[in-house]
Amino acid sequence: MSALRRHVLANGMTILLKEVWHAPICSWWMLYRVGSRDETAGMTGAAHWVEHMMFRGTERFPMGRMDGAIDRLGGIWNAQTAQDYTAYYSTLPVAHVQLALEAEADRMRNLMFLAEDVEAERRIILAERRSAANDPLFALDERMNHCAFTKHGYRHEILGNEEDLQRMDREPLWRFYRQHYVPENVIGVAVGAFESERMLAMIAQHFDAEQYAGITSASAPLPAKRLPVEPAQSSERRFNVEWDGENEFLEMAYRVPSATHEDWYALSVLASLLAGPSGPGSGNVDNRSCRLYEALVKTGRAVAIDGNLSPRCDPYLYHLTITLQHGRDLAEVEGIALAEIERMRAGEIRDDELSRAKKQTRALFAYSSEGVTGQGFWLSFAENLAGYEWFERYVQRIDAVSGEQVQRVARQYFRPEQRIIGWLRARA
Amino acid sequence: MQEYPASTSIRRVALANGAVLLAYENPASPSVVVAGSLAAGSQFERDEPAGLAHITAQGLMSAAADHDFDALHGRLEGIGADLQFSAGSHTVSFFGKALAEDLPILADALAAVLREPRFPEQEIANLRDEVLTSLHFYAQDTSWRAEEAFNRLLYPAQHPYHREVIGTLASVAQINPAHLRRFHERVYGPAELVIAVVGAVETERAIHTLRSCLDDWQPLVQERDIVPPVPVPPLASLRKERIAIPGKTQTDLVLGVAGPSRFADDYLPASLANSVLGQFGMMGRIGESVRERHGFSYYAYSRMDGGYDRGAWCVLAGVEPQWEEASLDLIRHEIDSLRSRGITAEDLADNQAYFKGRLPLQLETNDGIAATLLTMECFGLGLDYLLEYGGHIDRIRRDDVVAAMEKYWPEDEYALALAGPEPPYHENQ
Repeated sequence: MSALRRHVLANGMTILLKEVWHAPICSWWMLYRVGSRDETAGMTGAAHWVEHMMFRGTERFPMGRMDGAIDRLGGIWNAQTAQDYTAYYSTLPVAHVQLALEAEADRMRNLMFLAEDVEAERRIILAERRSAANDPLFALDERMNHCAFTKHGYRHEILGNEEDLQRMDREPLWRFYRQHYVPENVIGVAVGAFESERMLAMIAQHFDAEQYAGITSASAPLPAKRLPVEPAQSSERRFNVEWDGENEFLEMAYRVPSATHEDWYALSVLASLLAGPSGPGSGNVDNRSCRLYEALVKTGRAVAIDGNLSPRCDPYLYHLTITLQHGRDLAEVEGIALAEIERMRAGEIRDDELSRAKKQTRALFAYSSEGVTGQGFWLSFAENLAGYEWFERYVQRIDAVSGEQVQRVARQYFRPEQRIIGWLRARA
Repeated sequence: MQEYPASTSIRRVALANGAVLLAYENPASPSVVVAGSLAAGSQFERDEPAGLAHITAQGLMSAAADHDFDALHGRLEGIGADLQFSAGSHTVSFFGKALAEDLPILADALAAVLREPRFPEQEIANLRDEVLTSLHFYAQDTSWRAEEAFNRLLYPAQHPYHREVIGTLASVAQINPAHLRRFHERVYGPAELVIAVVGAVETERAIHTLRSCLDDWQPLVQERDIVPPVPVPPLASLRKERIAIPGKTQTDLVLGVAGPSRFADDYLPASLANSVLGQFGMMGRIGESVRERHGFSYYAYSRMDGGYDRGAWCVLAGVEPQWEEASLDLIRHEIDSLRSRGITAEDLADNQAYFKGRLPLQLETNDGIAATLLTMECFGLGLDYLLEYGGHIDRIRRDDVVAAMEKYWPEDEYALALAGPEPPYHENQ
């Protein structure tokens, strides 16, 4: 892996540069340190709505111009809103990366934010939410976060509550944009076939401190993150959701610390043993040799197990979603899953299991680093989380995990009073 | 710096048993991809339960040779490798991935499951129940239901695209391991097997590794079935079906026709027309109109499947139920406009640039390169296709695009399927 360089521009914008020379392309990421966790009451969905507004354009780059320009170059250009961040990215021939820098620099400060565009996006986002709501698992996930978080912004559905989406108007959205879309709140990451010095000069030229003098913290102070702290959970929580289909699902979540916590890596190994490979790139590998698959799928009670230890800036959840085989009993499946978790807490971790989880992590890491777009994502994501070293040292940290540590975190975090259980049931 | 894979850098070996191996070295990442296909799709089902090809492909990973389920999966997952199979109407496709150092383990597993699957009773019973559970779930999925209905409307009953590869609740319930064993014995063989190996492995070593696992796979004992193509007759009128699913919040619609196969002379002009219609920029003219200008949907785009036969060329959208008709009017308007007025010189130039410009990204990863090599081999495009590709695109003229639209989208002759909530609709449902 080539060396990575980190800079902070005079206006506070963080820049990461990584040279990768295998193809004449470059991925440019702009990660804003604002996501749905930063929204306040009545403003749920604001981060995602502003993301949509960013594609409505500026006077210089009106809506559609960049879509067409990037496509003409054979590139990609898109965005994603998450709980901890909002990220914009383009991957295109390196000779044209200036176009992406220009457009991103422009829309950070010059978004038109027309009232009619706000209304058009209201309709589109409501359609997006209703499209998502066609899937019963959307309701299950939404209820899970409501049940798990009473104060912290992780309670919010990223798309927003329907009522907030109906009510919110241009002004609070505009303030949200102005408050958070400032250079010192940005991590800019370039990965591709460029010389770092020249790329840095080009970035500095487009994001010059003077141009942003009016919108940096001097005039619009960026508040320190003082997000509500979630009160401790003292007993198991449960909820039920019903739907018109015949399938039934079980979702279980345990409270886990932020991904910056020293226990994170042992938890990642634990998650691998329980429900399949965990870590960057984990969507790439099947999970038919994990403990829960053995206990539930091979015995014909469930058809799929999905474990998800998602790295977050603040304490969040380890999720297990179990798809029941048609006609099976939720209580029985829950009992077996809980027994398996108890067995993990009580028993020892075998050396071969530990070695397997470590080898899996190395493979997953290799897959996640294959393209410049993926590397750009992981570097910006990690920088927001804990510094880019979090990603670069991931394999090394996993390699250092011992069986005793895995057993300890199983006992510490997978306690009954730390869990939330949701059933998605077929309506009678 | 990147050079496109070509005959000078791709190693192609045809084994005596008919299997074709392609290898390309890509040192950019320490991983390797093994991907391929063989002719074992649902069109080879005789008077057998629908869904048999699908379950057979999935069931390959149940046990093979001297590896039971646990040994097979434990061995692959233990090294962070993956191997998946899926059946289509014509072929079964597979995709495997591992660290480059583990190519021999991946190749050995692939050969074992292709050649000597065991289809044990218990694992196949579990797999059948998994498929039945999926079918129950799909019954509630608006996009799946709309597309399933669309295919039934568009293709005649004898055509393989008329039915879903996964089968039905009734047909899948009948499938047992004996069906799978007979299907495998009759259909799976090396003669129409194509495999691409791409990654941080030197090409000769990649070929040697695959060859050593597959060279002695004997061709099928009996002559394989010849499946004559089933013509797709003109629709002659609008065919429409609406499916009501209680509890849903949005309608999915599919509107379209049978498009060109990948072998058709006008495949590329039709692809370019499709790009203008519902891909380029923010989902082409359809997306610009239905989503951006009117806000009737979150997604609205067009898709052209191509492939071995005349796959669907369709517009797909998830629309607010109260705006179904308005959305359909906009979609029909864009299709009619493209057919009658064609594209501008700017449209042509934009899309030609798009088609040529996307190659570097497409070829950045092992997955992307492997998929491209397979397309070149399976559709007879030649190993130097990527070098010739720009010329093919530059030769497309505006008239070619109009001709493709007129040929495949005759006025008012299309299939339309909608799946969503039951009427009447309310503003705030």
